[in-house]
Amino acid sequence: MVILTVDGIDCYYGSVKVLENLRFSAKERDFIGILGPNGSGKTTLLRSISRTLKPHRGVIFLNDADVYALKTVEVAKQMAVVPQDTVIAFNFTALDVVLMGRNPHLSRFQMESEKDIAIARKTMELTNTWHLAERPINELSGGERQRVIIARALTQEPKILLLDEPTVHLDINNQLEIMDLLKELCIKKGLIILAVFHDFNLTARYCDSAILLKDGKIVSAGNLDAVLTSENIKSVFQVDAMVKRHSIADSLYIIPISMPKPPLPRKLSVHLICGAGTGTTLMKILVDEGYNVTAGVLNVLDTDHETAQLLKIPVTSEAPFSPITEETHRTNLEMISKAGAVVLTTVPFGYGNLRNLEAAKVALERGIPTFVIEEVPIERRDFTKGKAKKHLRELKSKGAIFVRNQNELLSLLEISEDKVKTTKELSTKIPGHLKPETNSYEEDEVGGIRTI
Amino acid sequence: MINTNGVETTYSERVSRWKLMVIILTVALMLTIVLSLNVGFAQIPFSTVLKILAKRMPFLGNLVDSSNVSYVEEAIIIQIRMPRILAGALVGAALAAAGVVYQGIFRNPMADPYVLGVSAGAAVGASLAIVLGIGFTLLGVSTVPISAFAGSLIAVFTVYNISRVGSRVPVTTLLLSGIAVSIFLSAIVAVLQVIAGERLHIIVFWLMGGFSYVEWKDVWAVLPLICLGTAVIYFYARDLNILALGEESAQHLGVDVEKVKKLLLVFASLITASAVSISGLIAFIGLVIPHITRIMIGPDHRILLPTSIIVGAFFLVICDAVARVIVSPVELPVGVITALSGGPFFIYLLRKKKESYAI
Amino acid sequence: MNPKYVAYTMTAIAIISVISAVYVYAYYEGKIADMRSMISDLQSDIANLQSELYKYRNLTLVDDRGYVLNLTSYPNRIVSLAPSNTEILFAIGADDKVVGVTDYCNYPYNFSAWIEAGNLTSVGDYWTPNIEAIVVLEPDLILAAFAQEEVVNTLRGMGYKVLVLDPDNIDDILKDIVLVGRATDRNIEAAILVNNLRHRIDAVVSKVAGATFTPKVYYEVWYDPLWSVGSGGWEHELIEKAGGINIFADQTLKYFETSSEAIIERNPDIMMFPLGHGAGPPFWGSFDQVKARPGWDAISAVQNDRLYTIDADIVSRPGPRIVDALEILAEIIHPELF
Repeated sequence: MVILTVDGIDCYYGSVKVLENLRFSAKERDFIGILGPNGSGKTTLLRSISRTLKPHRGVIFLNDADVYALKTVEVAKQMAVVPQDTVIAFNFTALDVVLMGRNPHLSRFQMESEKDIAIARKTMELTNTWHLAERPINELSGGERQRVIIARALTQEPKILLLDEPTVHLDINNQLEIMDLLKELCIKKGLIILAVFHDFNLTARYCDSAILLKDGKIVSAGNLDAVLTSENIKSVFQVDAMVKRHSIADSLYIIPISMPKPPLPRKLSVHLICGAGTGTTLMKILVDEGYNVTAGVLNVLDTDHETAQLLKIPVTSEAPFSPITEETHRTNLEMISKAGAVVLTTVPFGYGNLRNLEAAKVALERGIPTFVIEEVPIERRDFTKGKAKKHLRELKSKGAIFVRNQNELLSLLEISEDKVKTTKELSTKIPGHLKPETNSYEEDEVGGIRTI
Repeated sequence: MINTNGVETTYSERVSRWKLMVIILTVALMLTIVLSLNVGFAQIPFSTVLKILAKRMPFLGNLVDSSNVSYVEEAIIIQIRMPRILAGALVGAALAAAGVVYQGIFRNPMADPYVLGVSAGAAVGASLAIVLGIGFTLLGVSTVPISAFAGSLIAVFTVYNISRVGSRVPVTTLLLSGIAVSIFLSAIVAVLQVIAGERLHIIVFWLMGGFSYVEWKDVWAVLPLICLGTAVIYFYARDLNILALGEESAQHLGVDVEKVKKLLLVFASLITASAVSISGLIAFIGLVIPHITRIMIGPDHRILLPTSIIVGAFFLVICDAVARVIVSPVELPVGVITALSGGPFFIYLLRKKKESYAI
Repeated sequence: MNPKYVAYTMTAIAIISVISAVYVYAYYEGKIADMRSMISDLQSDIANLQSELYKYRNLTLVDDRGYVLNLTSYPNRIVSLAPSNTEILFAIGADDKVVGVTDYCNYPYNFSAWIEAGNLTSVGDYWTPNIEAIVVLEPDLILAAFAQEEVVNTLRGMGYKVLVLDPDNIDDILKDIVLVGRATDRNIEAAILVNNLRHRIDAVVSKVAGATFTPKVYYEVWYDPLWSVGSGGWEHELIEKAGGINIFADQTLKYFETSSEAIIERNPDIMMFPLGHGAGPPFWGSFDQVKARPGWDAISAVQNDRLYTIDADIVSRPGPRIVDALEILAEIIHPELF
């Protein structure tokens, strides 16, 4: 049983402390991902384990021996390193380079034997580089070279494999191939694999544990679920991200959501009637643009609901899978009345959320400019046997503004920002018979733009 | 023989092909040495040359009738031509081997044996000895080669100590210190040339390099050093291969990088200093012979080192023969011939293989 | 007077004179015979001494580097490694023994033609003589010169007899002529030549002693960079003996690099330029070019147009013709005295 123990090490570059009090251990069949922002010490950690940078404090144990006390050759027989960049000085062939991995096992004047070549062949076939064996290494692409280096590391027949961003030059199918290979070797041959990654999702898919570093210290270490959380990601990377478990791949996946500060807070508040994901992008855009956004009614567990929570948008919520209740409807209407504009997205309608259309009508009646996005024709998303369609026609007749897509919506919102104020004032002062009339219009497939 | 296919067979084929090439090259070198004995101012018939050689060999000596070989002819062949040809072979071998080592350690195709100040140090040593005219013999040995040898070792030692960081010797620092020290020492040589007055010619001729007055005692003096040095270097041939991956990677593959670097540098400098002390500064061999050999047989140092040594010796012996004869009785400096012939040949090789030869 | 008395007296006088004449004659004859035998004794003594000398058969020579060479017999095949040595050999009559010279030897004969005709062998140039060429000639004496240490060491190592001639001043040159005379059994010719040369030198020196002024003289060794002569060289001595003063007399080196500034500042009255025998223009170009050198028009020599050439060979070679150079220089420096 091979065990690698890092016991409280401090590492310095000159007088700058780059790693502080790192402690963890790894045993056979551990596939550990090392994550962290730039400069957090990931590569340094690998270097200190691989005997390039000796820690000033603490010890690194390979089984029971201090790694730095062992002879270079002894360590090389058990540990292999795949570095980030490789520049190879002379024009060795790929096979030559891979055979160099056998060096720790050969004595000074021993030539490589049949057995060594066979091992090299095997690892090259595993990494899909055997067809490159006779090619000069410097003619290969970055990805091919990376795979050759990995083959070389494997040819060392190590017990511990250290990799520094092993997939960075590889295209997607090679990435998965290599990672599958590493995982398989890890399990079958009982390797310890420590790999630095920048890609969370790759880590999540293959590693069973992870170490998250920040400023040279371990922020979190252990099982993936414990390490890869939104809080951790936020605190270490200052990035908001959603962490979900992918049902098919059975692994976590992380979606970063960036939230830049709004340029100027605008006064216009927009209420979104949406659902089923149709409002997510719009929410984000509006928040980015500085609008005060509210939403409703949305069922809990609805995608838009989650987005709203993430973006801290006030939502009128309804219990999951339940139709909109009277109470909720009223709350929604309250929210709407505070809004300066209402936007109805291309949400599919069922009996459960039909009342949202009524809410939209109320909005219109109260004189709030109401926009309807008709990117997807209502026929395709009407599951109420025509009732939604009817509501929509009424909205049109009442003066809702139908837009083709989000961009048109946004430009109109800007124009109506000022108009809204005046319209609101106007609508309270101007007697009803003098309010501008809605004109007749023609229906067409996509919907026309009408001005009030 | 196991039935391996494709690549494995070419690999072992490569090794046996290489062994054949070494044998051919060694034979060519021997032939060239013998043929060079025929070249020189004095017109000595080749049969006489062979007789003189045979006379000295254990069995052949009795078979050959060498009674009509004059004392003068024998003196010329054995006392004048033989030592200088052997010196040429030794120097060519030493410079080529040192060039291979330096290019391997620095992973830089422009490195040559003079890069750490060996040449500049030797020049200072020799110029000092010439200017001070220290009797020109000390215990029967000329002071100039001893002074040159000492000068080069002092220069390398200085460069090494300037670049040392604890027990490590970072390669870039070595190169830069070597350049700085060389420039400084070259300036000193220039000053020495100014105060040399009428001895200026001697310094200039020494700097140009040549084998004009090499004697057997010079050859005996450097032979053990060069043989020992090249043997030690060959020990670390595979390590040189692995160093090509970078120092960190080499360390990870079990090479004790600092120790290997120091050893190789010391011995490469030693053989270069030995060579320079008897031949002056001959440029081009240490830089280009490794490349020419690499183009011919690839970068594996286990093959590259012995082949470069033979090719270096072969090349320099031929160049020296040409230098001796082309404007007889005056002798051209050997460095001129090596550069004039080697340069175009190297360019030709580069063009032919330019696609596959990338460093 | 009685005739008889006259007759008898005269007869007596005659007899007495004859007898005394015979006596005197015999007396002196004896003395002469003595002297003759003394002379022949002396001669046989001298012959004995000479054969004694030859019996020891060891001629010890010390060259300019202090190297001691023992000759057991006079050389018959001499190789000269410098034009100055060749000139000395030919001047003292040892020319029939010379078998090898350098490419630069050109006096007193056109040796390159001799070499081409196959009557003489060239051993290469001055700086790197070809060892094989020397060895092939089987020399029993080699005369080397300054800056040939390597070849000298190698030759001595192979057992050849080599003398290095490297004089510092005119007196040393004369001593070298004597040395070569001793080495080649031309002592008398060498002594006569040296005597002759000394007379000529003394003649010049005493003549210029009566000069009323000493012009400042500049001798140019090379241009670009500018090289001149210091007190360590015989060019300086020539100038001084010829009644001039070397503007760089304070420099101790034989040759050294200088600058236009120094020359202009020291303002020589006369400037000397060596003229070689090679093809092409001399290193200083032409007098017009010299006068055109920047700042040189301020020099008195340029203004008074006192620029002269002198045969480079006779000035730079440490041989008998150095005295020719002295005489030519004296005429240039003190035309009023010659």
